[in-house]
Amino acid sequence: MTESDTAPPDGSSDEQLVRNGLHALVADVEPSATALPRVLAGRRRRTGVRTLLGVTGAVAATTAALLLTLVFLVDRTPPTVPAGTAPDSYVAQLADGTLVSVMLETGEVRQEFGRPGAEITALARGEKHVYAATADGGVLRMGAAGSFRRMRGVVPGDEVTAIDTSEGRLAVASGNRVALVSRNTTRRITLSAELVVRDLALDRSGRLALVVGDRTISGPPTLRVVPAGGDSAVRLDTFEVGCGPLRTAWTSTGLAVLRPIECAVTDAVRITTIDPATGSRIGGGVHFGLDRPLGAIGDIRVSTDATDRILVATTSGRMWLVDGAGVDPATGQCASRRDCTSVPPVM
Amino acid sequence: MDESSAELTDLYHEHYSRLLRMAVLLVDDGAAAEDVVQDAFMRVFDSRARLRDRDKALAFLRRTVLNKSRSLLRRRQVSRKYQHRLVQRESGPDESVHGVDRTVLADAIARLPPRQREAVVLRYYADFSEAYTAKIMKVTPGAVKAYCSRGVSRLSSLLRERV
Repeated sequence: MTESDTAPPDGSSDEQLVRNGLHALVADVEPSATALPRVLAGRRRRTGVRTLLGVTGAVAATTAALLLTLVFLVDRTPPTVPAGTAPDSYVAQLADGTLVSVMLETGEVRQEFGRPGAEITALARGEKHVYAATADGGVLRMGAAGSFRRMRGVVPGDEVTAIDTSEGRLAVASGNRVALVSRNTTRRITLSAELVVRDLALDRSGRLALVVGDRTISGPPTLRVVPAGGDSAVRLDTFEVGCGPLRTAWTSTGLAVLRPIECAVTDAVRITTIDPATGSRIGGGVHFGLDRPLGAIGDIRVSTDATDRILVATTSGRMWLVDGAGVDPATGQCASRRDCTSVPPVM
Repeated sequence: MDESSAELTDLYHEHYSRLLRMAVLLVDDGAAAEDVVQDAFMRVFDSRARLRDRDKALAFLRRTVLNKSRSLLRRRQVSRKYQHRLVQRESGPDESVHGVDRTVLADAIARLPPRQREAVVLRYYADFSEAYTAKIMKVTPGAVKAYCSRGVSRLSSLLRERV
């Protein structure tokens, strides 16, 4: 007991009476004979329990840390995040020819796939690889660490007008032909000789959507769908668009179709979602202005990601991200601090 | 015997009896008071700081005895089993000590409001200063003064009537 804890005896007679009474009341109270052994035994039990709890806590903490570390490492292990499939990124070609994936929000280069060594006309993004159509014909499959190989089944020398990939399949359009490459097999779909495939989109089931032009007439392109495993394209006549579709891409609800909002106005486009079975309109979509009038169908490209966002990219390097009814300009430059070629990037 | 057991034994010999008597005055039950004080002693060295500092250990014991006594009384009230066991145990008719009938005094203490009872026990049995009593009770020194004044007045009037 410290000196400051205690009070000097008080002089009040009432207080002294109470003080004396309290002391007298408990004067004969003594600890039981077993008090000290019980205290010491209780202390030992308590120490044991606390030690056990401490060990259990340490084991639990170590296990949690190990699990977190595993999750942390797994999330960052390259094989589990295949090249080209990282969310919120697109694939583009830098000015020096290197194919890269670029983070959508920041424009930072996320991964490099090497240089194809040939002029690129179109890009497609797969789960583990990036596919690049070359100007001299054929398609290159680029992998991580700069590995690449030329795709078999695509006839070299043919000018590739469009490519797309999904679930390990690759669709390549050349003139009026479409080659569907899956592992070691190639299936070819040939349209009438007067037709030319301007764009194509391949969905997860193997279904193809084609934007088809007719060389013999000056009419707008039409939209055709090739069912999975089929070899003929069914024209979607019910979809009426004055100036025809320019580009298309699959979404989880249907086909996203990009077209000019008016035939005479080529610097503004509209994206409409349609039912691929009937051609009927599912959603009116959104429209937005481009930075310059479209010169040719190859000047623009649409691609979608797993969340149905649509990336619209032009050869001028401008990009727009369409998310539902919202349209936002994507990163101004293709990749921050590094210029890109005119090949439109794809998600 | 390890260090904490040796320290605990020393602490027991120095303070156990006084804390036990204080607890008896607070809960008026010898067995319950023993439980309260023993539990406080078992926990006193859960903190290494208290093992190193004897003053901290003593302060912890006092606070713990008071808090556990409060809890015990609350439980009794809730279960409506509040019994003046000290009164029952000390019910002999001729047990006057220093001119004060123990039965009367025990009964009077038990009838005090809880805070008045605590203040009176800490000030006049444990001989704590007003400031220290206030610190342990977590009230102001002024409140301690008021509790003591009312408690003493009530007790002394009772005692004077019966003595």
